[in-house]
Amino acid sequence: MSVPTLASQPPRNVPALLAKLLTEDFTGAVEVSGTPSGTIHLRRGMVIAVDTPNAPSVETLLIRSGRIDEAAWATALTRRAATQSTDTDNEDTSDLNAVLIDLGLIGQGELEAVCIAAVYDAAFAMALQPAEGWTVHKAAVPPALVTCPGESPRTLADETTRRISTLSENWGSLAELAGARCRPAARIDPGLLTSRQQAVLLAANGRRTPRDIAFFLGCGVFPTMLDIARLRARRLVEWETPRPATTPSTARRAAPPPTDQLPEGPAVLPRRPRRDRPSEDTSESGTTEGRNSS
Amino acid sequence: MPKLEISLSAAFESPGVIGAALVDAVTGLAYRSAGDFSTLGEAHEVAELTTLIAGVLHEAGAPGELESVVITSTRRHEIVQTVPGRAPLNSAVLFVALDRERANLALAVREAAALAESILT
Repeated sequence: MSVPTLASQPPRNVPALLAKLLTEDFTGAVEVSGTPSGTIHLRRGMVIAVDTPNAPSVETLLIRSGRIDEAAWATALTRRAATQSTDTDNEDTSDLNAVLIDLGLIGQGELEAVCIAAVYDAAFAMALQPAEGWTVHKAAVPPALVTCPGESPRTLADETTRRISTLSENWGSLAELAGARCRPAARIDPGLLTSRQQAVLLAANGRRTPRDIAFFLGCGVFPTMLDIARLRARRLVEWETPRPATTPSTARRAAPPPTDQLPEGPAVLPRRPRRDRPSEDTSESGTTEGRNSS
Repeated sequence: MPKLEISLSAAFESPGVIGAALVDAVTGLAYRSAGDFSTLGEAHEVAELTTLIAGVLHEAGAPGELESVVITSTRRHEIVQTVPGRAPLNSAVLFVALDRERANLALAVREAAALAESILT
């Protein structure tokens, strides 16, 4: 475990460290170690970017969501490399930002919003597990796309707390939700779902966790976890709750069908038998009887 | 000055506006805000309410998409205007809070819709 380097009285946690760095007008980076490792980039104490493998970066958000086409992104990177040699010192907005807007790939306002959203989402993803330690770097190169002027560490900490309590109030164990490999639980008319919910349901294939779905769709980890929590509340997704390794499941497993009876053709996939809910059956028979008697 | 802040401060040019904010419709995160916009609840609460209304409309099979919600109290109007989406999965809403004494609601709704059109450009 690394030891806090800056002060005689070391801050208790990352939010306390960021609050202290704000008072020092610090520019640089805080590298947080732990299972959700990551780097928090600061400019004059304000958080301009958070980089973690646990949440999609601005680039992933833009490309995976289909907002910016991959070839167009490559063009922007080439253009930026070409301009970098001539225009060396551009501090306020990074030049990739300007190139993306010049090429008409995204609006300035929208790019700002995506960069802000990415900061909060990465902070949330890192907060899902406690940090083990941190190192403060005075000289650090910030990512190409950052928010300007940056997010206040206090607002960032408050929002992260709110996000964690929103989810844990409804779901109890955040660790379970974060690790849930969810899959659709029932058939539903897609017309009854928003396009977001449809996309999340399509991406939930029983192997992806909410984080994986967020990377796949190019949206935040927190909104994906919210979507999954809400879909679960409507019994539209399900997942197997992880069991301790010492108690193996004793549930009967259906024997696989003999191979010669498998349906032919690649288009036919095996389907899970549809579960009719008993409440629907009883209410249906109840109304029929009622009508007959009256 | 960042574009979002410029756009939000432009909202104050119309009569009666006391607050404006651009909010993520899914997470309830206020990207940027100006003035007093939380008189009818926190940003995430209003975003949740909007999601709920949109969801109920969907479940009821209502045609089309939710465009705006107007909340009126005895002293305030609050307009929640959906921002026309460029990214299919990430949606935003614009909040505009108004003082009822000074505001013309019909005009304010039109101006909120116009601002929503331009804020992400």
